Amino acid sequence: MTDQTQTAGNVGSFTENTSLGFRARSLFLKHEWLRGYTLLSPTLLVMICLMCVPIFMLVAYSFWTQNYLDIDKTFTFANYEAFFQKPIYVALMMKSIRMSLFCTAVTLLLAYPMAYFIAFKVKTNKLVWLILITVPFWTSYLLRVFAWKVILGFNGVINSGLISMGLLDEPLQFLLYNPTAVVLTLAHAWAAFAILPIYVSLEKIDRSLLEAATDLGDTPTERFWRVTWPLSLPGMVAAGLLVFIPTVGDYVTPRLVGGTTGIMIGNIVQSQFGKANNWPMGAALSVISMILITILVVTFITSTTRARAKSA
Amino acid sequence: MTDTTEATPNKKKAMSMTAEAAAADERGSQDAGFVESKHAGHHWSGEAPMFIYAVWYLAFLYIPVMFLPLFSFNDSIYVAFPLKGFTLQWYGDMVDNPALLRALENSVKVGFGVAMASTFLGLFAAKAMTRYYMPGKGPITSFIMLPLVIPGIVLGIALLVISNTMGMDLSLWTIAAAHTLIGVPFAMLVMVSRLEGFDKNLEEASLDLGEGAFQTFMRITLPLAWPGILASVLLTFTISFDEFILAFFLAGNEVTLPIYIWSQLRFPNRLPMVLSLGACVLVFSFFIVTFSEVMRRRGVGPQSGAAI
Amino acid sequence: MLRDDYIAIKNTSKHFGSVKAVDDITFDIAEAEFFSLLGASGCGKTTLLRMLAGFEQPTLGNIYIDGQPQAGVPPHQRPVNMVFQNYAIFPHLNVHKNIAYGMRKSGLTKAEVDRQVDEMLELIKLPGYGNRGAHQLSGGQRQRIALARALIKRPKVLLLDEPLGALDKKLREQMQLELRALQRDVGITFVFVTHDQEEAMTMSDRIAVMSMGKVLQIDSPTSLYEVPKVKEVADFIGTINFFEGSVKGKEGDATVLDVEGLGTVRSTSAGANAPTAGSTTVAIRPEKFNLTFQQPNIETNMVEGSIQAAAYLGDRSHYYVQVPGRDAPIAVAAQNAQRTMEAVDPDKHEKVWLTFDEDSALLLNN
Repeated sequence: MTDQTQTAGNVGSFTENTSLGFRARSLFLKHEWLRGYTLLSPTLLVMICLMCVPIFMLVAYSFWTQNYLDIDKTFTFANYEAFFQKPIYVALMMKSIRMSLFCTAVTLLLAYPMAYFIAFKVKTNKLVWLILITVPFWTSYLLRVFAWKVILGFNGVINSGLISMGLLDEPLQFLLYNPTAVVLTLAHAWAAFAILPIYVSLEKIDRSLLEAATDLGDTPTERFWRVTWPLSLPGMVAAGLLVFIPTVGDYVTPRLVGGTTGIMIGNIVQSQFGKANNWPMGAALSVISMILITILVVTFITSTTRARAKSA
Repeated sequence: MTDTTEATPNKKKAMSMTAEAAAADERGSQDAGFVESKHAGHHWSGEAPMFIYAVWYLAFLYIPVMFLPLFSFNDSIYVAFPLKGFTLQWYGDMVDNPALLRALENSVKVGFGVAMASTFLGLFAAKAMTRYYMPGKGPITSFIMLPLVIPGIVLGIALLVISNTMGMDLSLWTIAAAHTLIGVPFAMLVMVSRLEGFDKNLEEASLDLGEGAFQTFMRITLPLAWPGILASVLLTFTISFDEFILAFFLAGNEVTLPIYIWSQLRFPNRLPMVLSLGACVLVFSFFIVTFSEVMRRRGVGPQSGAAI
Repeated sequence: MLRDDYIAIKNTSKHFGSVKAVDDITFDIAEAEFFSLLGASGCGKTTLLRMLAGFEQPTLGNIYIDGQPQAGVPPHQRPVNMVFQNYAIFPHLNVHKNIAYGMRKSGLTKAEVDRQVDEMLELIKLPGYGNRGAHQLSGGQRQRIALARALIKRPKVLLLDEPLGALDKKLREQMQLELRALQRDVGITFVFVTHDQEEAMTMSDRIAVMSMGKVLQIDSPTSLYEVPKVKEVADFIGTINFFEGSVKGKEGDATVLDVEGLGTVRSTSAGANAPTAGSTTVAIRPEKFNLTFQQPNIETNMVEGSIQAAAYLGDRSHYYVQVPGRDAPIAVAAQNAQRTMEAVDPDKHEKVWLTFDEDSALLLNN
């Protein structure tokens, strides 16, 4: 077989070694990161244009003021001062964060056993379980929240159901339009988002570690708290962040099921861009929210890391 | 909207206290059940409580949304038990509604564009992430994932502010841009796991056998990654199709379906029609997403074991 | 006329960040040679192979194949083909399409390509396997198909990245012989990467032993084993005993040394760069020792000791002999030429004597 001639594609061209194209190609071949970044550049460009630039602009807006129909572009802290001067803003901000923390805690506690079940107890059809958990998350957020309005409403599913079964004479008033309804609805809406990170961290645990713990004398409960739980903490942290951060800024759920007592900071921000028509104030409120969220997240992460370091 | 802020601080406090108490109660009982099942989980009989919990959890996930389809066939303008007769009237109302059909058309247009753009960008990014040695890969991944952890309202108003500054009119384009922003991270996640699912050597083998980068992409990467690509297209389409929070701020005169639904919630007599529309959207999303999840998680074959 | 510098690697380095995976390597590989790169994992052998294939570009230096510089030539334009460690059989194509994969640009008609694929299937002893799916193949079959897929391109050089590592021992030994026979048959230069010294020695014309990005020695298998030039090579290839010694002088051809645990040693096996004075390392392979139970009648190259442990391996036995003046026991291998039902019992033979030839004691630089 050696007597056959070389195929054309196998012979490189060496006549134009000094051409610009060749040098550019050599550079590309030599530096892998250059090829990687070239491939990555359209995505990064889009992300920068659609995320970084707008958020930068939002921050700029928060230092301007609304002057009836115009924006006064003089740099000022007026919006931030207004935030701290009006107790309603601060109180609402704190309430929003409290409700979100609360909703995160509920979501995580509900999600952990489910993730544990899929990771450790489901032997066959794991895929089916995972898909069953994930699919509701992708379906319309608006409709899922709307469903709760229908269920909890004054003439809603629960009240009318209980009345028609004869268990109730009058509709229950406390179901809808309060913070509990908001927490319940949010916990339902973000359930799937919490399960996946926890599931992944549990699934990653080397099963021989559990056998080793048993072998060294741990009871199943001790083993859970000494091995499984610490190793699943990163998943809990990730899940916590994934639920906490988006819920702080939510305005759809409070609007539909929260009533007057259930409103959150997102509703105020939204109204600044709607009826109240004070964009700079809305921008300042969202910047403050972001800063607060960042502080909380960083504190949370450092404290959990420290706690893990201490236990280890 | 603003009138809602006028609740007295006292009353608010009281309400949130009860909410905390109620949830703490729930948490307590949950905790106990959880520890108990952990205890029992290691005997064969211990499987049962966990399984019951899992079924209960699935019911919690699914039953609330089931009421939308259920009442969409109910022959009453009120969403309340007992059920009256069976009717398809509300579905009929839907079909005869030009505004709704227009919104549907807009949603499909935006969704299709978003699916294409996100998947394209996600595939490029995923290929770079999985196939090249690059410094700063970790921070860049976090950067691309950032839209997932920024509250939707912040992204929405930021994009609204920038469109306004640049003198751009709000349109389906602004909605599509926002949806692409949140579609890319998901598309990249799907594509990364797909590309990690088969061996980098396969692409190298193709290069080694004389095919250039483009031909290798067409003959090896694309056929092996297509379930992931399909999953990504379907997923990002659904995300855009169902997205409300961003679209609410960025819609101009032309609206998408979720915004249309939102606008109809003000009219009690349109509720049954919204229910039937919601039911259709839910069922549609459910099937598309299930299909996309199956695609996404399907293995690539025995060779995938060789990958990292 | 076959070229001696068919592949010329000139002052080639590859750095990954601050890691020097390949560190200033220069050597040639001859045409139609079966050449192995041998070393532990992380020694740079795979990086060197990937530079030959074009998947990595040298940070410094250049590589020439048949006189042509390869810098800036992408993998798909190089006259080399590769058999990957895990074979990289395309899972979405059948056997026939896998083998024909690289023939798209060959300019041959479909019928001609089909004929050549069938020819390759004959060559790798898998005739009629064309329609098999990639998932229906065993490890050995995948290995053969990866080989056929590369060989059908008639490359100037075939690169093999530990292609036998995934196979079980029996199959691996069989494939070693087949691969060597195939290489002689097709006359293509093979560059073979392995960490298995036995595998390298079975197949190669020459072996380059690598460590920490450097080439320690390039030689035929016999030379590597019998005349290692540095301690690392002696240690890496087979088992060997090292002794610390100091040169006392020369007596004709032989160097006379004072060696710890061995007393006075005469060696005629001084390498070209072995020291003529001062301290040195004396290396002796286990099978070069002659073990007896009676005191031999010689003065030098003889030591008395006791058996600390013995292992009977069928064709040979291994002994660990403790000698005065040395902490570690000496490893000794003896062929079991006579049939015996009785293993050597360490307790029964308190005293043994080891002797060795003058040319068995290798002198190595410290």
